[in-house]
Amino acid sequence: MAKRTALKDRGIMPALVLFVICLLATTCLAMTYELTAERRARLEQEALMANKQILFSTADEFKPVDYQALPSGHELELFEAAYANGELQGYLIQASVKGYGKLVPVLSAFDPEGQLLAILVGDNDETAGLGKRIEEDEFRAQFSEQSAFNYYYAKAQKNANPELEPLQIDAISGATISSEAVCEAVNIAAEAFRSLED
Amino acid sequence: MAKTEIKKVLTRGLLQQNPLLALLLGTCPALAVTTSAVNGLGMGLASTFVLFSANLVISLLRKLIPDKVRIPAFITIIASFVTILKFLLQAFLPDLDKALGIFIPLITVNCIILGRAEAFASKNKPLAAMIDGIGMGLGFTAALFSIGLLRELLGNGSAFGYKLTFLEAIGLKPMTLFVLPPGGFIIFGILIAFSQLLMKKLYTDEPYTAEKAPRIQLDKVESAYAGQDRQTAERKERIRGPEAVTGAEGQKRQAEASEEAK
Repeated sequence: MAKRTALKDRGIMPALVLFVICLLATTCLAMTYELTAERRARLEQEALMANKQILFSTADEFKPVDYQALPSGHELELFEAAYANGELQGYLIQASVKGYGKLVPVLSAFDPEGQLLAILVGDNDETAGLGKRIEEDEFRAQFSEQSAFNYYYAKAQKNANPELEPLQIDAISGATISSEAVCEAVNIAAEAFRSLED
Repeated sequence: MAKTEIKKVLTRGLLQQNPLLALLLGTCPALAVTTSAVNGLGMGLASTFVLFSANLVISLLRKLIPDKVRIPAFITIIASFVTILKFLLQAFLPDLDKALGIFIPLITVNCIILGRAEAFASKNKPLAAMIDGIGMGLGFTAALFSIGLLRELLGNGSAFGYKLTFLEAIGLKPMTLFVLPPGGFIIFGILIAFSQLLMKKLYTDEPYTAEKAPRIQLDKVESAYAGQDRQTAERKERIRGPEAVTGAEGQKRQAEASEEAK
């Protein structure tokens, strides 16, 4: 004969206990998040600075640039000018586009004449071994020494602007969405650069 | 807890019940992150932290967690510790965080942690659970470190990130195979064989098998499946009658019935 079930196993109690456990867990997580937030933010800033130095190795100063809202409506995360000894080296523009996971941030470097020097892909959640390969040199090299007057695409050519020259990028096989996201982010950066000229 | 029992719980995780080499748990992250000695070590220590913390909390709450929701409760507790670990790594060891990447969040579903929670922590006192966590964690770390070091030496010609140029000088060129998954499997298999040999030499003259695993009498550790067996037998008896109950439970009931008949 089974004995009377314990209080914790009866009726609504299991759900209630689980609820309390989740509540306590969330509290601990929130506390740890707050305690580490400042330090993590600082490290993120340092990583961004390191990236900027990679793209403009001679630069000693980075100043934010005033820009108008883009006609396409996209937002920029960063728009700065790089200076070495007071001389303008070029521009750094970061835009994020949703890839397979969450947003993929891409930092593009332009020289004052409109040449796209290089790009760097930042922290992303793309699939390891597939989409993550957009960070590799081989994929990024396709954007090096290109132009701010190209429309970059991997599969679908959706250019609406007749002034731009379409340029097809070799997508990473099995990672079209990630590749397209990078192209789109570079297009937004190029649009921002062109808005400066005008 | 007796000193010998503490020692037994602590050391069985190193060799006889090494989670990676004997129990074959946590193989996925093991093969993915052991491309270098430092990564293997880092992953091992990260998993040990989660194992220790989750074991402790689950053991403290073992009388309060209802049986019906024990798996969701365990997973919640484990996932919370993994997330706390992720925040701490991002803040204090960002290089390790980047190197291990997605495998840190994947510690949540590492079979070792849920396995020990279910099989040991939920049925034993906090002190035993903590020590088991440390023992299993250290065993996992030792195995990961060994695989990582071997793969780095053979596949990259380096150790701890430092290139060992004398290896090339004596004609030992690095073989890229070993930093790729197939090479990882090969090293893994060799290490399992080696640990079996070690156990044979150290403990008994016969090959090690699961039945020979040392029995620990700590608070009468119940088999993980005893409760399920009893429930299944009761259900069978209810639906199909007492004759339907076969196997170990059936024999137990027949023995009880013949006792009563006497």
